[in-house]
Amino acid sequence: MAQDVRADEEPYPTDQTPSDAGADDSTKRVASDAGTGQMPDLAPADSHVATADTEFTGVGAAVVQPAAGPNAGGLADSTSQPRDVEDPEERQSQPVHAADLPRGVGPSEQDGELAVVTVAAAHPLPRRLPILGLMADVGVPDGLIGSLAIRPWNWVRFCAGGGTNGISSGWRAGLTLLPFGAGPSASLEYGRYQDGDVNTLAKKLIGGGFDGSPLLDRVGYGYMNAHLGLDFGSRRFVFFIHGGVTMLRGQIHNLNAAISGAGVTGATEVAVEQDPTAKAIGPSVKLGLVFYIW
Amino acid sequence: MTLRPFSTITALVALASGCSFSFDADLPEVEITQRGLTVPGVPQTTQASDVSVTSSFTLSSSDAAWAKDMNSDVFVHQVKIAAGGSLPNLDFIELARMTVAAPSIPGVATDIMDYERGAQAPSSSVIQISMSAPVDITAPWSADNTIFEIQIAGQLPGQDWTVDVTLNLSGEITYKF
Repeated sequence: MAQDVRADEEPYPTDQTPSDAGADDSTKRVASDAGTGQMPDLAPADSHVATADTEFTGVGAAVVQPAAGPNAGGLADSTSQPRDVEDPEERQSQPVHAADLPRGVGPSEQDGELAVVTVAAAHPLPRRLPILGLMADVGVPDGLIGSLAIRPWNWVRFCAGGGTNGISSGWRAGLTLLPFGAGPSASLEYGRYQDGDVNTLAKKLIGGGFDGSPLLDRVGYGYMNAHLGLDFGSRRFVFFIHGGVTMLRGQIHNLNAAISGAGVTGATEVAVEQDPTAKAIGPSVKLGLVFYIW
Repeated sequence: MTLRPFSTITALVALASGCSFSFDADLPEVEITQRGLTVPGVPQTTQASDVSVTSSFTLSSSDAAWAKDMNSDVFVHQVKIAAGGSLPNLDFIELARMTVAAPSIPGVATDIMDYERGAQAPSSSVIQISMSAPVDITAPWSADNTIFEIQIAGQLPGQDWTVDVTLNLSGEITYKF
């Protein structure tokens, strides 16, 4: 078996590029490792090569091919996928130039029996994160919301949907930033609930002694959340808990009806000619789940 | 069961936001009317010229209800004096002046309006004065008792007479927890 490996031989003049090296059919090369994109040197036609029982170990990605292939005489195609040499006989028959062998693992001039080339495995292509998902969350003052979630990148999530606060229907849209793809998150959301009658809910909460108030006949509000939180999971399922500050704004209706018999005595009359606008700022929290489907 | 309006709203908002720590409501237009304010009559024999009388009314936290809850930025935009009872008009009023004060803030009275009837003014049962700039009455309004004093001068009726005084206000109700 030929073991003539002359690693110290200059393969071609230093001012000559590999493609200038005049490779012909006898030129042999080791293609680049697709995972690293490193280019192998190209051996000149008359160089001595290691052949036959050269052994490759590792989990693949070493490409060995004759120079007569489509890349002969030129640079290795670093964009091509690594081609595993599956046939052991074919693998053994592929010559390897000494200069192409990684230092420290190739055949030494002393023992020179086997060339052992360890090649790193090509990294598998990362799987694309699902982009489109369904989200459900419950909180205060958001109520129960079902949304469509879109994750164009792993660090951002847009959502928009509708739901109920137990009084009326509403909608909400928002943006969540996840700088690490999962874990800490920051959200900004805006939502609005239509006017609804709160008296029924208030009677349930307060009890039978409450006979309703005109103020609660029409209650609606818009709100804006600024939340920090934690998002767990990243690929298909994401569970999150968010909390922060909510600014809530709405109009107070039927104030005249509410005050007509409440507290105004004697000769003093109070009339509200224009519905007041109420604003509140307070803490808020919500829990939710996102299931990415596509 | 009767609920104080803004207590209800505050409780509702607190319920909605878990634990509200700030609530405010802008009230851009509130009318407070004191009906049947009695002005003492002046015997005709004493009226050699215009005479002046003063009358006042008090708005307390109990009788003005939630309107007294307005606790910030309370402004007067307009004052309206309407003839009450059987008075056909208020043409006899030549001058009118209104101030507001609070017993808890002694020595400080805020001028709300000054009125002087023009020579060619038409006959009317209502005197309406709009402020060129809103008058800030936040301090006296925030006191438990707010006293409005109205001084009227002219050829006044010999018998006691009444007027309805309406204040057009704006204000803000603020709670912080």
